[in-house]
Amino acid sequence: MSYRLFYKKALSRKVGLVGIAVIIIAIVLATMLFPQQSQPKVKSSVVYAYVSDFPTLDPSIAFEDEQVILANVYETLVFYNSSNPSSPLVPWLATSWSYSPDGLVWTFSLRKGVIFHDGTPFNAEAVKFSIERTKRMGLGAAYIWDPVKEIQVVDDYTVKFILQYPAPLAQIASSQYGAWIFSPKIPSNDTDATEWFNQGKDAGTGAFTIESYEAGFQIVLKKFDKYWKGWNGNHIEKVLIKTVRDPTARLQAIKAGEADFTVDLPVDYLPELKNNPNVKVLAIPSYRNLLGMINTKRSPTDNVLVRQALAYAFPYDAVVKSVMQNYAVQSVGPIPQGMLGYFEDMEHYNYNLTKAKELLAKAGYPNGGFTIILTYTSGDQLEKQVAELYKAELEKLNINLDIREMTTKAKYSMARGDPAQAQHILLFYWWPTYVTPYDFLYSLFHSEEKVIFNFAYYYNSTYDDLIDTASKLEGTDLNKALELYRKAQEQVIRDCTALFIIDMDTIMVINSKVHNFKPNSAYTEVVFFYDIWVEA
Amino acid sequence: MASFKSYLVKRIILALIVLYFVVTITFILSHVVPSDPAELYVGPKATKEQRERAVIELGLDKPLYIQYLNYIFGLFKGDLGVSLRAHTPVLHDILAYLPATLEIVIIANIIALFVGILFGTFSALKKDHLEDHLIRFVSVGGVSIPSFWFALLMQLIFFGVLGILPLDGRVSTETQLFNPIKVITGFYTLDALLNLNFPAFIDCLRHLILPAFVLATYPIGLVTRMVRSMMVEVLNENYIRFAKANGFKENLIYYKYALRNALTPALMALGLSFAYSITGAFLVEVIFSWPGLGTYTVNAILENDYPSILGVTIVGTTFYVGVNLLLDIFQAYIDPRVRLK
Amino acid sequence: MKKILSKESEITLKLLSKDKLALFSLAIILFFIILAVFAPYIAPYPEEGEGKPAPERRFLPPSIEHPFGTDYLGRDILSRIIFGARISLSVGIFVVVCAISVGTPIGLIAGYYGGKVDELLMRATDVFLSFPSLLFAIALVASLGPGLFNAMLSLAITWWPWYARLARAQAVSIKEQPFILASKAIGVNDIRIVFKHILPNSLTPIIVQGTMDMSSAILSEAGLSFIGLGAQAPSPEWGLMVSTGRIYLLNYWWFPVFPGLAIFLVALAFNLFGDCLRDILDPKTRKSRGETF
Repeated sequence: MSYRLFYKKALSRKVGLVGIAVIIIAIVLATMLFPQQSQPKVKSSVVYAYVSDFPTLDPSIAFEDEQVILANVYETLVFYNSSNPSSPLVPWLATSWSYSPDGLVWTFSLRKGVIFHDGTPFNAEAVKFSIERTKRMGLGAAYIWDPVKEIQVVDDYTVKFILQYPAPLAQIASSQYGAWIFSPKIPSNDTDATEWFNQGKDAGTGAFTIESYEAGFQIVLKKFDKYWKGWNGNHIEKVLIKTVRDPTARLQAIKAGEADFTVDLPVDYLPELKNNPNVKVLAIPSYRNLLGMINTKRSPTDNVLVRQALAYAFPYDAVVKSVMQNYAVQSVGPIPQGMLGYFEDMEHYNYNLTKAKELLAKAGYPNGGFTIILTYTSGDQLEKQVAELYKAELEKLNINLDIREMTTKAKYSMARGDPAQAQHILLFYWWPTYVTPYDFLYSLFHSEEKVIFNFAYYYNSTYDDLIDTASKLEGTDLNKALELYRKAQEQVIRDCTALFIIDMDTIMVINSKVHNFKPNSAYTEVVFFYDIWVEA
Repeated sequence: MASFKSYLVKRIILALIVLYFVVTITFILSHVVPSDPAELYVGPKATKEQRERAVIELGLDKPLYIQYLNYIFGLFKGDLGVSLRAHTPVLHDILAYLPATLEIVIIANIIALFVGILFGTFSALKKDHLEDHLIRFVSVGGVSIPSFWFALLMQLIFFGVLGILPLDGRVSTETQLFNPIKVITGFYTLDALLNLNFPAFIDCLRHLILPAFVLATYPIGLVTRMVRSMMVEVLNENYIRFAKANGFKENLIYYKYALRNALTPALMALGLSFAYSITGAFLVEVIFSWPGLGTYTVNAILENDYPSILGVTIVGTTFYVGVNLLLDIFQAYIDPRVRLK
Repeated sequence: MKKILSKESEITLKLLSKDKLALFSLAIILFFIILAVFAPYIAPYPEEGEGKPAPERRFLPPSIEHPFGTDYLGRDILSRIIFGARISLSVGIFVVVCAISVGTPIGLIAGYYGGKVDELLMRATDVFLSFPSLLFAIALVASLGPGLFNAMLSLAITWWPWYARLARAQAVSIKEQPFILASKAIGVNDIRIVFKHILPNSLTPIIVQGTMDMSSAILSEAGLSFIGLGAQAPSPEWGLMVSTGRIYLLNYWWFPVFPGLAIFLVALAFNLFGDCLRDILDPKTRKSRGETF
């Protein structure tokens, strides 16, 4: 059999195939060996590699991470400056404000000479329009305007809010959700307008306007020439905010200089970055904490002694030192460190297994012997490590901690069902819509007809009264309000309605050539691009 | 005598029946999901009235069988529902993410075709020699390697250690900012060429190589094995020997008979793996942050966005059923015995 | 018992013992089985293998004390991999055994009786075959909730149709054989015929397929766990370890790389063995699956 001949023929066909393969390989090698032409370092644009995408760009309903974009495109009446906690409220679109003695009428004087991106002038009508639309749509953070009964346009630059009960309206107006002011020249039908916004159109007064938007991937902002603050001095002209979910990719982007800002890097990346001269690692106090809400309506955690034992058994130090590498502190109570309403000296639980055993014995479980369910969020490395560490600790007490990874929606679903079937401990983070202790204390522990976030199922009217009263006083008598807030916190700590685990820093890693970056805890993970400039 | 036409009709009807069951089963599954769709739609801090409004808007107040019928009718119109998270139509989203996936899948399969035929034929020729064993090892390896792990390994080697290829993504930030590709077809490589944007084209290729290569390992393995076994048989076939003995031109024999014999199993293997490529690409896309259907689906899962999950399942399965149908028809066309089944 | 060690099987075993590749892959398989069975005695840090954290020594690179390094909670990765073998092998066995147990009888019955029964059963098979296993698993797990058991269940559900098809093809070809016709003629019960006569003779392709499916099952399950739909923390499941370790690829590469290597080796071993087995037993049984990651 002449295999040789066949071989030759097959070979020539193979040569053809091989030839094509060679050409392809050549192209591939070429692309590898002749990498990207290097571009000149441009100081007119920056890149922010952000961790997630943005469900909507509608300023009335945005309620996830959109403030990263919206805080540069829109503005609120009042600005919250977290670096000055004694007097944080700063004039923004409003130049001054006052309230009546009973706290039910608030008057805001508006800034003159401000124009919306579409050319219409900013005035009281626009304020009334924006807030009424947000209230009417009732989605996202619309609830913050619940105290407002009526909005009156006194004149072009004066607007009056009539409240149905007292509330700290100036603080509310500084919120990073639901308080953005936009031009009335948007489609009149609310849903059409949302669609309009989601296509990448904007109606703000901010320093930047949206140039292009690829939903789910990136957005490009460009400077708004007629911005009321003007453009004297060094400024950025263009911003690209990219969604880069993979932490490895964000790390590489910041290291390679492809991004100038990034957030949410695992703390384990930071040692390497700290030694990198091209970047700066910033640990920004945030108003964010990690909590483990404890189900007070399901056995055995319905017994306060058991709950307290669980709180004593928690490995706070291991979490702070090993998992968070000291980029966090142990929580004292529901209000995070640095925020209004935080009291360092409140009594709280520390890791103490002996005490935990004592309490368990008192509760009737001298040798543990029960199982409780803890849920944590999918994809969250921090929560996962916390869960596994806690599980190992509870094993020492002969308690079986059944840890379950669930998507956010799934874990909420379980928690919003029948409390007797819900998880015993739910791990999640909290941060405020606008800066007030009420946001934490109300959302987390106020009695609710239908469970929204009160995953402890805590129904305590004394507590409710304390915080409701405090909230009404907050705008007018802050000290009294803080007193009441403190009492309320001590109550929930005593009743051990949650594991108050850690108060976390926001870790931002930025290009070391960035100047004038002023991080602000009230605007989570926001970079105000108007303020910064970057050396070439 | 079984006619091709009757077989065709039978198969198509069958495919439609199968699709119907698939849709129904997926619908049932998704409505067993414990989470509350209305709540997902309006968000956790919504008031009771808002939630009730959403329930009506989403049609959740109607009994299950009416929802089911509405869904089926919707499918005919091409309405796959609305994403709970983004409030955009699911079909629209799927079509937006599809080209990215197709780009790597198609290229991966082309690579697999060439390499597979090459390896398979060579292996058959060197049957039982060292080369045969080596290639067999490689092809079985290709089928056994976990794609997500291999992807990570490639990233580690080519990006982490050697630094010659990018880590992930479809284009680099520099291209996005300075040389943005005007999207025409959704296939960035093609679009870059059509725009005569050569730096962007090279950039796209550099980003494509690793994901396409990783995705190609499985089909390469499959194609190699199938081509090899087919070629081994062919080389022993009597009609080849007979043709040679009778002095038929060498070229004629080899190209007309032998090659065609390699092509068929190769295409069959590819067809089978192509159908799965779309789903197999999921894992690869996740690793390379490739913005295709895989990434879309994984995000939908994390968000419990059941209309999106449903939509992808239906589209993916329809595609798979479609490819199988085409394969069967192709096979029936070539081999009449199949029609008797 | 006698049927299993028939002349054919004797020849098979003889050929196997001569095939170096088959022996090599069999050795790997046995190695992992031993790891799985004797895990608590072989693993240097057995409690960590099960999940006990050691936060003081997170991310240690490979060394003599920790040949594969430590993970994000300081646990010895080698020990975790050894314990993970238990999970992977049980998953493979469970899925394959389930799929075979359900699919084979269905296929045999369909093939033997033919007609309406055959049509009905085969259409049902087709519906299941149309589901790409990953999508079905996703849909199933999205409803039932993530977990190792649910993942295994959904894989078994998508897999049985293949065996039904295989068994059916065997039944169809065997039922015309003289010895079957003879049994029927003398009035042997149908069920007896199917299970006592047809079944043993159909085993060959089923076993071959089963061996290779062990590999696919392990790969699929690892893939599901990688996405987060399968095994849950603190389980030492390999796919889960790769997934958790993924973000540390560029800083602490040993964390995702070694567990993935284990998956590869096991899958490779089963596939190689199955491949050799197939070549020896019946070169005409070329079942191309094209299904897994």
